[in-house]
Amino acid sequence: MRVSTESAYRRVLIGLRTNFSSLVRAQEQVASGLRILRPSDDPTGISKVLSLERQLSDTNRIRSAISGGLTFVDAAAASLEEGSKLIAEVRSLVLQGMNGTITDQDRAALGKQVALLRTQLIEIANQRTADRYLFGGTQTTTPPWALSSNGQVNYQGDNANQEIRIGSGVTIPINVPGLEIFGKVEPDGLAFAGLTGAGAGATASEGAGTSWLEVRQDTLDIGGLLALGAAVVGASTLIGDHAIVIDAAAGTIQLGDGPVQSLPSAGSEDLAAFTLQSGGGATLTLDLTAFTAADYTGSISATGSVSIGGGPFVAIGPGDDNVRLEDPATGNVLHVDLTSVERAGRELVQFAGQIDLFQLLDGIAADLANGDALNQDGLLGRLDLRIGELDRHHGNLLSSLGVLGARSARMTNTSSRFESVGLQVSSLISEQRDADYTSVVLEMSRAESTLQLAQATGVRLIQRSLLDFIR
Amino acid sequence: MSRIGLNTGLKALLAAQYALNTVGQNIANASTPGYSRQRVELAASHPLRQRGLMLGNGVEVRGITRTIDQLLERRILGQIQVGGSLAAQLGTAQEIEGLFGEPGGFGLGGAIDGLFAGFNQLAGNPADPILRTAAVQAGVDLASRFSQLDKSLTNLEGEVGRELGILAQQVNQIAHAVAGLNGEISQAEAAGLEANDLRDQRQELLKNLASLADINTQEDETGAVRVLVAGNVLVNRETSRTMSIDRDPSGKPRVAIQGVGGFVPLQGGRMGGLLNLRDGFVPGLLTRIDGLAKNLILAVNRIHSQGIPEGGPFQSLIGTNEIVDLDKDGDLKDELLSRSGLPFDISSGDFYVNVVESSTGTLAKHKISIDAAKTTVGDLLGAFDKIPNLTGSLDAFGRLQIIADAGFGFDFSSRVDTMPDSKGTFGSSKAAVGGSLAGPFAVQPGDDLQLAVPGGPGSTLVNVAFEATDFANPAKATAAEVAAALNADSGFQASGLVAESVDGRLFLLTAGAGPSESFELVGGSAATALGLGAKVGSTFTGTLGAVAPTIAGAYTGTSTDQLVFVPSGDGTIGTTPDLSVDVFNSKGELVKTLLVGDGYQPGQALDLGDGLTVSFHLGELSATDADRMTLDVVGNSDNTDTLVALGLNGYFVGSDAASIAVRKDIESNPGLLAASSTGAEGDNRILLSLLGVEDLRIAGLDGATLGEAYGGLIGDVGFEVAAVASGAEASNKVLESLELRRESISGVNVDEELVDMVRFEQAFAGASQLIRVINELHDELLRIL
Repeated sequence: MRVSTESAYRRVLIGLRTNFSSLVRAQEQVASGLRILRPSDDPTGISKVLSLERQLSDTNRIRSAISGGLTFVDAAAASLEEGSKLIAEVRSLVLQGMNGTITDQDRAALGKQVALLRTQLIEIANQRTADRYLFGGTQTTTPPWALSSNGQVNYQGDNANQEIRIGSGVTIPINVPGLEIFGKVEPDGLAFAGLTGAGAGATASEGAGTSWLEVRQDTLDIGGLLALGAAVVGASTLIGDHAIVIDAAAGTIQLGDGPVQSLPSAGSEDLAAFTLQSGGGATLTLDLTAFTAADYTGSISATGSVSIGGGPFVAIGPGDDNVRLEDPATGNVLHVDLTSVERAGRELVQFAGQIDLFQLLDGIAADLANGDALNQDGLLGRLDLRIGELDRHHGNLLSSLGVLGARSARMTNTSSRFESVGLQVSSLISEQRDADYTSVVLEMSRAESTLQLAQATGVRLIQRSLLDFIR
Repeated sequence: MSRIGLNTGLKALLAAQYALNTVGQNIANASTPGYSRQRVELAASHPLRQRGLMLGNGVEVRGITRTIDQLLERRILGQIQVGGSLAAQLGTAQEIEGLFGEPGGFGLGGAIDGLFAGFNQLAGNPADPILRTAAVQAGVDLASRFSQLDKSLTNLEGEVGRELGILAQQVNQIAHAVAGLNGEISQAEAAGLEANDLRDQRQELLKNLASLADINTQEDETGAVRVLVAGNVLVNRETSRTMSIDRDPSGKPRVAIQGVGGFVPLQGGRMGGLLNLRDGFVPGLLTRIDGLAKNLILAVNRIHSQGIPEGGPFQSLIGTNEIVDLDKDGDLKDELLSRSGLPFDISSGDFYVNVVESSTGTLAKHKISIDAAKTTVGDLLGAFDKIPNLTGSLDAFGRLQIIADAGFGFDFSSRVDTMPDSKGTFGSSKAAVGGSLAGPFAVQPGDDLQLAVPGGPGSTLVNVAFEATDFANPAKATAAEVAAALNADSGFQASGLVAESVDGRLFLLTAGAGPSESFELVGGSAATALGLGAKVGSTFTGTLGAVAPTIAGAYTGTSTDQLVFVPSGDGTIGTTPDLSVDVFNSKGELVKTLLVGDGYQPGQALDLGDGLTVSFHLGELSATDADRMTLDVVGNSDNTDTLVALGLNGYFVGSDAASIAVRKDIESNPGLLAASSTGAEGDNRILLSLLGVEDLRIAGLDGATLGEAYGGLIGDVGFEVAAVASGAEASNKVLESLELRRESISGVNVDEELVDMVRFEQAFAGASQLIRVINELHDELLRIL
């Protein structure tokens, strides 16, 4: 083909240009480290890169959420471990209090220690990290357990969970609401801890915590004993109708189905104040100085009334097996069977609704102080009940601790799994997007040498002409 | 004889001179663009007849011709147009590609990621003010990226218009020059000459013109070239028309030619390429970016509008979108809600409003139904007004404003009513009786209901008669209408009685509670129709305890339904053996049976399903008295998009890339970011749902997620640019090969010309030698004389 001078020049120029732009492109890749500098460099590649980058940032997001959540979970677990230790201490104090050889003052001192531990536990329940409360559910800016004027604590948080996202459509809660830890336990049913003989009525009762049931004696009629010269002395705790059997020959007296007691001999000091006991432990003290022993079978009747929580007294009638009483302070509603009541006194009624640990500790402290002057058996019985409740609460706290531990483990595992996923995705992104230095440098040196050759040969081509030879 | 020789010599000299001149011309113009080499056409002169011999008469120059291939020139013109168009598109497309900032993470993709990162951080501790500010800032950044991109692309349209103007001016200059050359060439060739250099010049001008616009050339018999642009005459002989850039009715610059009606649709050359980009590629991009923005706003606002801000339920709220008076009658209330100029579509369905009493936390859930074909703006305002303690109105700009009475707040969350028996029809301590069947009832105007309430010495008789005006259709009276009619009666009110409608049934209750409250259903002609026939003559008394069902937990289900609670018999909670409560859904299917008899501890929570629990307190239930209760469980508090369309409690405002922004009051007060769905400050359920938007398959994006749609957009931009780049390169290569072919035909090879130069130099030398010899012969002859 005929080649004009112009086209010769042109071809040299084109060759130089093409080689130079290859060189520039290769250098661009080396300098930036990227194979794809703009979407048009690899349109399918860039879509892939964008999708991988999204996946990577999602992975990082999940890991950062987990890291924040772990701080929270671990702080909560640490607090609960503290709490568990405190409960164990309380248990040992109660056991000490059940020791038969302990004096009342020492027991009262134990009660004060329990009260101190209770305050510490309240602090733990109200613990916070730098920015929010641990055990309030989703009420994170106010202390979950508020102290009220009568020394009781009320739960002001809620029972909702705060969750974090650890995967597409997967969330995990990072908190356990305070009420679940410190107050979720439901005892097995209505329990009466006392000796009056009152029991649960047919209709269900509803309430939480405890209420004090007080049975008092209203009237006492010793019947035929008066005629025999007996007189009532002091307070008696007898309620209801009881038989009296006196055997003058044996010199014994028996109240209801109580123990057969020997009458004191004339002239002994006991005559002035002789205490009869019923089968249920009710007492009746008589002055027998003017008493003439004679065979007697009669009955004594005493009426009483009952009140709950310091409210108004309601008379106990015969056949009252389902009396409705409402505690004015707490709103607890009790249906009580009074047919077996034969002894006045105080009865601690425990409701099967939610009670919290702090109420329990309050009760334990009060029991140890023994303000009701219960005898050893009564006190032991009550403290025994308390140990049971304490153990249930401890178990509840430990299970919450277990839940937190399981969550912490799951979150840690998820985080490390995502860490390796993140690494994989990062390397995939690099594969797509980054320049392969080896091949690019090779490309560059190839382009460079090609350019040099083109330049050298081009110059030789365009320099020659016939003019060199025409004289 | 001598004259003959002299003549020949002279002619030879002249011919050589012309030839040398042509060689010189070729050499001089070897690098002139568009120059076609000229050749001298030599021919032997016509022989002379002399003395019986045919004597040669020397050489003459027949003409000086261009060596040119016309077909090739046409093809080159065509390829220049294609190349020009692609070159113009490539430059602008690369500029557009740069606007997106990918890869690099500083584009829209990075900002969308930043928004979800902000929500994710805040979900870790919704009450933290720093994290709130960060989440709001991420939204502001995203909005500004969108609007920057939109602005840059729209600016590009303006730039294109300006460049078209400059190019049109160039076209006019060239066209004018072509017209001028046409005249010169016609003149020259009319005299029978070939205007070689002029034609070369004109061809070069036509090439420049072809790179600017798509042209068609036709040479006429005078040698002038008619130039057509997209079928319209631009240059005809010596006249050229002016090309100008005018604006069309929508304001867009378009190409017009003087004397031609309408606008000229250019396809080729730089102008055609720019128009193609401006009218096709760029609007396509803008539509897709607007689509991303609109769907993002829709998805985010749908969730955010059902959230509760840090300060708890709203006292007042104004929408951000204005209702437009489309029928221009000066009244906004008669506009159909779904066609009132709002930026998002409204469909038929329901949405729920909660009204909360601040002091007690009691929540009342109200449903507003929307019929896309019938509900007007006025209907909507009326529906809000019907909700107790709430008023709805339009402000001066046509935006919906909702205000709660003092001591109340409202929100649109899906949280459940925790005390669903607010009316007291489910074992409450009020004296109550319910109808045994649901409405509509067939009531005759004049029918009455007779009740007796104890008070004073004996009992007061209350007689309520129904009038036709109490009902929309007395034959189909609803329980709500009957209750309203009863409650409006003064005697009924004064006696301390209240009427309620629950689940379509009529309930009669005392206003007060306790065993001292009672009433007797004496009778009345309406009793049977209202389902109370069996109860006539019975007395109903209040009780000490109330069942007061309490709902706890958060509804995790996705469907919206109304559950109905019905006791299976009569009894006391926790006491009566085998007492249970049946729970039905709105289809009448039994969902759950709750055992609340002997063995159930009053106050204990029973599982209701879907994250909810219900507990019943110590009280009495009665199936004979038709105790009943309903509970609305809402999966999606608004399936009509009314809240989004009106701009109530949204996170974003706007509806496309140019207008997207974070709501102004959220920007200045991040506490208004509605992160919670229960009102508790640590609740982050709304944020978790917002995080789910990233994985959501969006119908408006053809089922792609936001990230996929964005990736597809970038990929398509890359494909477009790569396609244009490779097209331009291919076109360049084709043009190059055509040009090379042209060069091989019409190009000057300097060596060739030098050879010719030597040739003609020798010819000249030879000719001058001939003349000298003839002269010498002449002299010889003269010396003889």
